Amino acid sequence: MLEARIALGQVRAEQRGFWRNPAAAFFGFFFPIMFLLIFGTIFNGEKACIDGTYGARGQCVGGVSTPYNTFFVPAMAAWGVITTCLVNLAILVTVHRDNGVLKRMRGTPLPVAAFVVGLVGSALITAVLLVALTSLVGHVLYGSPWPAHPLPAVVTVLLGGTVFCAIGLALTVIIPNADAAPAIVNVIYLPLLFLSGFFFSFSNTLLDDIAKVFPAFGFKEMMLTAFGAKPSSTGWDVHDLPVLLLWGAAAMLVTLRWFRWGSRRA
Amino acid sequence: MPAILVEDLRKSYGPVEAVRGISFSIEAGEVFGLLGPNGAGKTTTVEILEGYRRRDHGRVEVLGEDPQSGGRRLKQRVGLVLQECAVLPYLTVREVVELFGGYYPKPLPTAQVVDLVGLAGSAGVRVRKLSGGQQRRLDLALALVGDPELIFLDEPTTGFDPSARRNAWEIVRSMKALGKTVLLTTHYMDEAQNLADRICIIADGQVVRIGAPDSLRAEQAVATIRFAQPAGVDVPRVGEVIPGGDGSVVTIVTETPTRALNELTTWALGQGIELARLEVTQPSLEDVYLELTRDA
Repeated sequence: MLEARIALGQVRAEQRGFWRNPAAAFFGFFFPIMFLLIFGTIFNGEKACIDGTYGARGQCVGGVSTPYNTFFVPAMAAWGVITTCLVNLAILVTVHRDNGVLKRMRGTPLPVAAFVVGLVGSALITAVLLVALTSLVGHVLYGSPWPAHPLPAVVTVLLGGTVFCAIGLALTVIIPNADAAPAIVNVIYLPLLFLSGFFFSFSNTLLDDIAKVFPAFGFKEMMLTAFGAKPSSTGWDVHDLPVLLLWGAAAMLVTLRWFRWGSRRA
Repeated sequence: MPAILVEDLRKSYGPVEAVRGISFSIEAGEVFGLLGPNGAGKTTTVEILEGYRRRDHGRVEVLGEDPQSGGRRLKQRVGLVLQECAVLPYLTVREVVELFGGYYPKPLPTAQVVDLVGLAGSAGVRVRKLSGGQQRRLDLALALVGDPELIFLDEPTTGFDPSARRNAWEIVRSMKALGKTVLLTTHYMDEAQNLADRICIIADGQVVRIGAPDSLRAEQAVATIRFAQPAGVDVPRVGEVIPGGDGSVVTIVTETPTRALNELTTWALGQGIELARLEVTQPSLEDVYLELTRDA
């Protein structure tokens, strides 16, 4: 009981910390919305070719042609989850590590599990809010459909969010200090988003084969399926699940083995 | 059972042996001052006791448990003030104290703790907006909120202005009055002298001296006699004359101040000289400390 109350207190404290920090709230929450507005407006009315290639006259061959924003809104929702979980957590934890917060926490009876639940729980709350806002903006401004399969959508967000939190924590192992955190995280994940077709959807066998090794691709596919952008009767995409779970497990092992509570200089 | 027991503690970082066989014990309810120059091994010793570092050798008990394996149960009985105040910067004073209190089975009321450290007027202020001194006081509040039996204070008043230091001293005294054991590390001799029941001076990874502040001072049974150099005469050497200054002041150190003074004043009366600015002083604890750690 005490543990549960402590964990809830941690979630609340992390949420307060996030929304009261203007930089965190902007880059971790409103930045993806800004991208949705820019790309969504530019390409509104265009078509996306999901799982296909463009033919000689620009027609979608071997895939499903949908309005651009039907594709882009769930893809941006997926990006939002990666931002609120992986990016925010990697930066937040390295900042905490550098200024001694982690060390201070470790000197108290705060259970490590409750501390991690606080970080992950807070990130998941932000992720759910961002996905909801993304869907709302997409629906209101660009007429993109509401998520076709609500339960798979929620489960996918929570599951994917947890995996990306684990990866974010694991990334702190290779990030030397807080100053370097944003640069290192961006260099790792932004190219991966382009490679994984978050902004423009068309199939390229070689690129897809590379992208499929990484978790972002599968997660985006799962989000497209749950949102109904990809044809599916149930909204569950179990095909892309194993890669995501493997990355989550690997990240957890790295974190358990190499996580640092203090900065290197200490 | 002592609150803290350290026997032949050793710790190396690579080829550097930072702690070279330190032993001491702290009784329950005692305020124990750990003093030493930078690099003496203070921080390493304290961090081993706090559970942050593993020792290479020796026996360590904190409240009867090994800090390396004591885990959460031990941490519930110990309060820490680290050298840097580090808490979630966007929470308010009240929120942080409340949050930390929640980690302990029987926390003190938030308002009482905030008031005790003199932050009642800033309870609603976010941590990042506090001054350096206020942040240290918040750290003190976080060490107290769990109502611990043992408190580690690592240089708790560094960066305090004089009145804030006096306030912090009052808090430490009230901790002692409540029967809590306090391990205090400090750079300030007057702080150790005012607060500590016993002082342990370490230098170069070893214990140089342990004792009550007064006994440490008495141990150096040396007095200093100073007076203005009288013009045109040679002063009798009633003790060891310490060179220094511009020669306008004579400084003599002696282990027998009564005899030395007698000889000196008898001579002066015979010469018909009044010794201007004559004074006899006991060495301060600071002098003792500098003497003991001179070679480190």
